[in-house]
Amino acid sequence: MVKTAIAAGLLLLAMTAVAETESQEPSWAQLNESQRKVLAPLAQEWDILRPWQRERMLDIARDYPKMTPEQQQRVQRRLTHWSRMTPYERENARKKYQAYQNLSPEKKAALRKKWEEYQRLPEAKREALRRENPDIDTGLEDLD
Amino acid sequence: MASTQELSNFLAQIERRAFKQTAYAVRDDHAAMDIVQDAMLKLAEKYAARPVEEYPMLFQRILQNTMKDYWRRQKVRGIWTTLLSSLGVSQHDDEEHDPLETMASDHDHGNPELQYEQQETIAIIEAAIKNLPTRQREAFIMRYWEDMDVAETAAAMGCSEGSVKTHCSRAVHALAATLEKYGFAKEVLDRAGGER
Amino acid sequence: MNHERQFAKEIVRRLDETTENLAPEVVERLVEARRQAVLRMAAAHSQQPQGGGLMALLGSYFLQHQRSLSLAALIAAVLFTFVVTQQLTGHGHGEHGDAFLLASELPPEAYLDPGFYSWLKQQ
Repeated sequence: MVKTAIAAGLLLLAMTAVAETESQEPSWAQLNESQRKVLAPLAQEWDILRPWQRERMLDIARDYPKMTPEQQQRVQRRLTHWSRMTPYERENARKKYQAYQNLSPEKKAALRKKWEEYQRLPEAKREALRRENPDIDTGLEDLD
Repeated sequence: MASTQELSNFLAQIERRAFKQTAYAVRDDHAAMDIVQDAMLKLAEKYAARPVEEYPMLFQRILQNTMKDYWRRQKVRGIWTTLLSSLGVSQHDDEEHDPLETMASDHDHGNPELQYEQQETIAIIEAAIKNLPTRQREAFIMRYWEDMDVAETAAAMGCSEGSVKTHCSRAVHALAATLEKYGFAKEVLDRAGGER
Repeated sequence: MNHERQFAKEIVRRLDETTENLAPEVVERLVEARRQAVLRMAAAHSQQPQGGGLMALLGSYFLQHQRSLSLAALIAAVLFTFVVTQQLTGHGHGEHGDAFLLASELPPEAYLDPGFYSWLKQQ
């Protein structure tokens, strides 16, 4: 009984391993059900994403089950906007996210609070602030 | 599926150029060595099932991703200095590499009018390559040093074929302009049929 | 375009010379890195033989040894497969992927909004 269960588990793991190494640039139709569920917001535009971008998106689907429901909701909400950013913007966001990750919990909280405050400013004020600082250092030269 | 022999041959063929290419980008031989080694291992491990014909493209793609990870680790502090200092966190400044440094020192002990020794010529070309914007350098190296075609280069860079051509063309013109400044581009250009 | 190409080839010819004069320790490390990559590939191949792949390998292994395999050995096999799967698919490198960026309390826009930076600077 136990053996059968373990055998089934092994087969499942083996199947996902094979599936994941084989599918390099799958079309929407080739995605499995759980991938489609996570990436549903991208259904319309999936097939026009660049192969590289698809790989990244599949990584998101892969990590998705490890998350809390609250995190999953955020991912769902932000996915479309994310996929429509330029590679340059995404790369930039990744770098800063990593720096954010390295902050202490207090600093993270402080930064989040600042962001909320900033969000509450009137749009005209935010626009004025943007004009003040049109060119933040991105660290990466002309990414496409 | 590539055989281990094919992998070995492929790596033997490209490893020295890969090292130089990486060293141009990161300007640190030790880091370059680590990056190349990481990229080799990733290729062997993750793409063992792919045919060897795809290796030049795959390897370049991996190499660039590995370099990007390196940049991310290196530069992240600098980018956030402003932000963090605004939150009252003190940070050590990143010392910025000055790409012109190498070039200036090479230039100092030579009169541009003189025939450059072979070593000096190479030093100047290498400095000019290092000075190119990242994407231009990548495109130039893949197209002309690695002899990859436009489509392969585009796939490796994750951009359109059009931008590969633009990057290559800009790289060539930037290199020509820099070399001309050092008084010997003409010689190289004449040999190439004299465009400028 | 043709001129560009010829010019590029001239440059590249000089660059080729540089690869012939690498420091011996660099050359040695490259050879060693290559050797390790080849070993790594050999290991990867043995995890995924042609045909049925990992699944077939495990299946046949399981059938042949069904009786003699102890529960402990099976668990070890499960763990091993799990580790290999993690390695092959790049799992388990912490909260670094795009997924975690998107799931973070701070939205991606926060990192990209120059207005937010000016505002932080003002504080």
